[in-house]
Amino acid sequence: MGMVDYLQVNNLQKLYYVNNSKIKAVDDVTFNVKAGEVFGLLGPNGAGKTSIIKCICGLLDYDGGDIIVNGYSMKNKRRKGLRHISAVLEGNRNIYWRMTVKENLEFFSGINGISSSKVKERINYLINQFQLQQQKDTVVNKLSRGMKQKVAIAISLIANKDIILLDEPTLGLDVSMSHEMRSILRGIAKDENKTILLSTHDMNVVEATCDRLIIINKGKIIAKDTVDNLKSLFNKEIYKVTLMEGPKNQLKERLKKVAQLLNYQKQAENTSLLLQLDNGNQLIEIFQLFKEEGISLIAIEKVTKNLEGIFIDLLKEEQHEILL
Amino acid sequence: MKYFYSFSAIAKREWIELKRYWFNSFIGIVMYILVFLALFTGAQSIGQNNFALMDSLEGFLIGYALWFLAIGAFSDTAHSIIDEARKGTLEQLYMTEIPFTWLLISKNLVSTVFFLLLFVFIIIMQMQITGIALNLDLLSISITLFISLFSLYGIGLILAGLGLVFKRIQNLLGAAQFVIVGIMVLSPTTIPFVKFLPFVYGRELIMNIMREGYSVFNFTIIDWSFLIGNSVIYMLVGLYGYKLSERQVLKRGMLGQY
Ligand SMILES: Nc1ncnc2c1ncn2[C@@H]1O[C@H](COP(=O)(O)OP(=O)(O)OP(=O)(O)O)[C@@H](O)[C@H]1O
Ligand SMILES: [Mg+2]
Repeated sequence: MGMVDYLQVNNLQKLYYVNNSKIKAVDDVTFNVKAGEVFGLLGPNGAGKTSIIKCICGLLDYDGGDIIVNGYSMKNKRRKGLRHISAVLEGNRNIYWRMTVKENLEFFSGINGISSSKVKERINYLINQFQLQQQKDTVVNKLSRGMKQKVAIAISLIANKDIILLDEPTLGLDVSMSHEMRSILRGIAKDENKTILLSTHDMNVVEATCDRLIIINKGKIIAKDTVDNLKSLFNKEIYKVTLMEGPKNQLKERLKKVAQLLNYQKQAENTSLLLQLDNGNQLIEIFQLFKEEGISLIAIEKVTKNLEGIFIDLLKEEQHEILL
Repeated sequence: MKYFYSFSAIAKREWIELKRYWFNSFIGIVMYILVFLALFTGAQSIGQNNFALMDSLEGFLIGYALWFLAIGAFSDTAHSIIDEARKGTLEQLYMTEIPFTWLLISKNLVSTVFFLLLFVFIIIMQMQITGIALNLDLLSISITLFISLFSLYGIGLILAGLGLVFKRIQNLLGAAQFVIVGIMVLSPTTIPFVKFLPFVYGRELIMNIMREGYSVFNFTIIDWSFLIGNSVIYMLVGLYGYKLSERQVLKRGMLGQY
């Protein structure tokens, strides 16, 4: 399989009607996921992540646009599309809590039309892969939350479908379990050659697992890019420079030729500037400038932003669309 | 073959649940027998050696057992769908390429076997308690029950659909129990139209089998057509009703919430 768009979401629109008022839960959302890719849906509460995922796996009728899974529209070829999709929805509820891990795996392969003799090997493989050997005959109800989540993901792999949808796979897990989950997800994409679409409100999960992402807020896409690009786009060299006195106009003009002046704040004691450079070497020019103008420097610090900071910024300035 | 594998997965799940949680079913049966015992001793003390009463006691014995079964059968479908919606597994059942309807029917087929065994068991218990002898023609009883139970599953489907949309399944099931009582006591000989109600014709046939020694080999064309027609029609009505609700449920995103 080459880098085809395995999953296409085109101008998706989902409305809910609650007490005669209309909620636009998903508003003109378009993205493609390539085969073998890990794709992130990032957004705060109520952004529309769960709605998008449920539309993709045929559990929710949509009002506009279309979803194409390996060439099949989920509108009128739903069952053909479902041959390629499995999902773990919010709160790992895809398990029978009164059955054991193994019984669950057997059941879900069976209802997908797979014979129990054919699936034996795969069950053992998954139990080993997820390190569930000791728990395999335990009733799921007795497992910890993290374990349940592992079982849920193992179940989503039992029928060996190509696309795995995961709604908030790390929600409610403690730090170490959340990290284990991230490496499990990366492993699935790599070793099992699956296409993964996951939703989360946690930047760090996206940063650790995804190749590309969209950021959504209130049903709308506000950014769409590779994780790397998004990080470097925003992580241009930004410096906060604090000066003894305000620069004269002449200095401002000269500064603007070298760097981008993002912010300028004059306070009682001092003045602070926020400068964006293309690379760190330009700092030398800046120092030169200050020296020529006879300005004394109090402090200079590099402002770094992780993806989380970027995310927060983006939510603040929604219009700021970066569609690449 | 896919359909067969999914059927056996459902059968195995039902078996596991029964095996692991048999105690719940067991308590239900014990309660049932105790209530029967109380009713029977009450009836006995009223009319000793009263032949008319003894005669109607036979009818009461069978009718009561059938009523117990009927309540179980129609609430079984409704309860299990609602229960799976609550647990979240209903969404997973909707995400297989096997149609959900098939999974439902699989479950009904399995339940029917369970209900047949249950019926025979409680009838034998009751015969022991009362000393009343009935014609236990297992073949005729099984076939008749097997077919007629599907009319009740149809009703269960409608209730399940309504339950998913309106989230009031307990009230619905409560109300439906009265309807079932009606179905169990109305007689088609006095009010002919009641034989069009679900399960009624099957009930009459079972009464005849157990009391008069009627047998499937003596069934007339009319018997067969009413028995099968009634179940097919109510099952289709049930499936259609469920589909109507399902459309709403998929629009409003309520498959996973109850
Ligand atoms: N079944 C429903 N009926 C009515 N409104 C709904 C339904 N499901 C979601 N909504 C509304 O649609 C919007 C998007 O919800 P959705 O659950 O898709 O967001 P989310 O990104 O998954 O949020 P969260 O992080 O809280 O899970 C919200 O305003 C929510 O209140
Ligand atoms: Mg959600």
